[in-house]
Amino acid sequence: MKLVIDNVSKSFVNRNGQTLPVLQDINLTVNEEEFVALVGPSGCGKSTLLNIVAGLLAPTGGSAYFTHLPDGHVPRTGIVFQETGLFPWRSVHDNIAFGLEAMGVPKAEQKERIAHYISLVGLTGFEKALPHHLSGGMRQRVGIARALVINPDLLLMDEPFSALDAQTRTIMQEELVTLWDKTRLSTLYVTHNIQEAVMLADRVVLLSRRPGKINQILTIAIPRAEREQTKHAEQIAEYIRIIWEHISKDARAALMEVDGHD
Amino acid sequence: MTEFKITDKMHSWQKTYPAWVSVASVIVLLVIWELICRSGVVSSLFLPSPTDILSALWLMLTGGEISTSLAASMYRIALGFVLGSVIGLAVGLFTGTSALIDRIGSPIVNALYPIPKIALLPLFILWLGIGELSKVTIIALGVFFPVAMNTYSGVKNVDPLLIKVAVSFNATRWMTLKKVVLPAALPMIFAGLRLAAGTSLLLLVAAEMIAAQEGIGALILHYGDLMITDRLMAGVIVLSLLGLVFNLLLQWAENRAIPWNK
Repeated sequence: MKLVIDNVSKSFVNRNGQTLPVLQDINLTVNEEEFVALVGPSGCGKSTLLNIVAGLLAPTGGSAYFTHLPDGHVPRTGIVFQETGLFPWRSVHDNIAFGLEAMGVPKAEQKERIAHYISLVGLTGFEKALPHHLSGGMRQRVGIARALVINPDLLLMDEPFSALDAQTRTIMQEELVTLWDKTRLSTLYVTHNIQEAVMLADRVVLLSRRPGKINQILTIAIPRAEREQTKHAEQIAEYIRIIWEHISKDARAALMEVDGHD
Repeated sequence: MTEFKITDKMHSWQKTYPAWVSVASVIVLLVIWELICRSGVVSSLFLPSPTDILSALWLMLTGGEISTSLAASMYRIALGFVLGSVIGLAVGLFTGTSALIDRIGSPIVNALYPIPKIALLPLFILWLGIGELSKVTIIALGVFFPVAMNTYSGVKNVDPLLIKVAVSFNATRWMTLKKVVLPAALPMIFAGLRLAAGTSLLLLVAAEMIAAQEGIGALILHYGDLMITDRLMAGVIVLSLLGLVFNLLLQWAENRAIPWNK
């Protein structure tokens, strides 16, 4: 399985009838069992690109598609949304069940699969809780379990931890590394947090802003599980420095933007 | 050396009083009313005393007068309310989610909405006869509009993120409607039902006063004509209790239906 983003561009027409290019000539491949992070300042169109890949938005030009699929296999995409998007009227268990219900998975099998992922994300005992009873970190764990339970071919994550406080965020990042090593799903991860991208990804794709273009692609050549270790601290810092060098000018410009949004 | 004592500036905003204060206030009001009537300042023809009203109510209860009237009224209001709200819900749901039905249906609904529904009673009597059907129809119509309007705006205001989530799991249109749009719109729908409850009571009494042999409205009008004021007031009390029970039932249903709305 491979995700190919082929010459994708996207522009929006604003209220005054002007065309605003948001993405331009994006070419990118996400390989089997590869974790790719998209990094860029706000307004670089990274969420737009993710939405196009998710099938929630049509590109203006180019296309995104899967290749190297087994015959007759319809690829599934699991999405973890920034604001979690949990259904407030559904319990933890029922929220995770939603995708399985849409697939028509029998109830008994649903139960088994959901139980597995609930324990995987550490929510055992909270099956019946409603989202408003959970902390931000727990809610996003539900979001992750909901995306994983359908056995997706591709996992999309749109700044999943940006609404969390810094400490919870660090913990969730570490948990995601462990979780990802168990599932090894092809992943496209959008973030504006450089450190997060360097800790998680195999490759970091830097987008420039307005219109978003691929500025550079960096391969992080440290095994994911070892990135916390002090012996790599210097190298990690170097990656972060390089990325920041590339995007700081854009980030400063984004800061001055009046109508800046992704 | 001066001292500054820090006091709670929120105190007057957060003061609470025990519940018996409310009970006491009602009792005091009733006692004053009773005293005014007993003193003979006001003729009992214009203002019967609370005890007179209670004994009239007791006689009407034991005589079976209340139960026949109440049964007739409750049948009309229950049937009218259920019919009006079910149709209103369906219309609101479909106009709110289908662009085409919205274009076709909204102008019709908006044109008919401002008509005071009671004005249509003579027409309905002409069309449907003076029996139950015309009264049930007028109540159903009065219930239909607030429910349809509120369902419509509830559906229109569903967080698009939740629909994106459903669509990303390849949920069908029907599943999204039933499991996402409808529950998300429930708080608004219940607001519409509560509005409709008031309207339905109003229309019930009005219709019964215009054209009915039985029913609380007819009973009140009847004793008004005979100038038997204590029995008239007893009828009003029954109406107020009917409204109260109606609201409690709706409140109970709402708490059951949307426990997540906190």
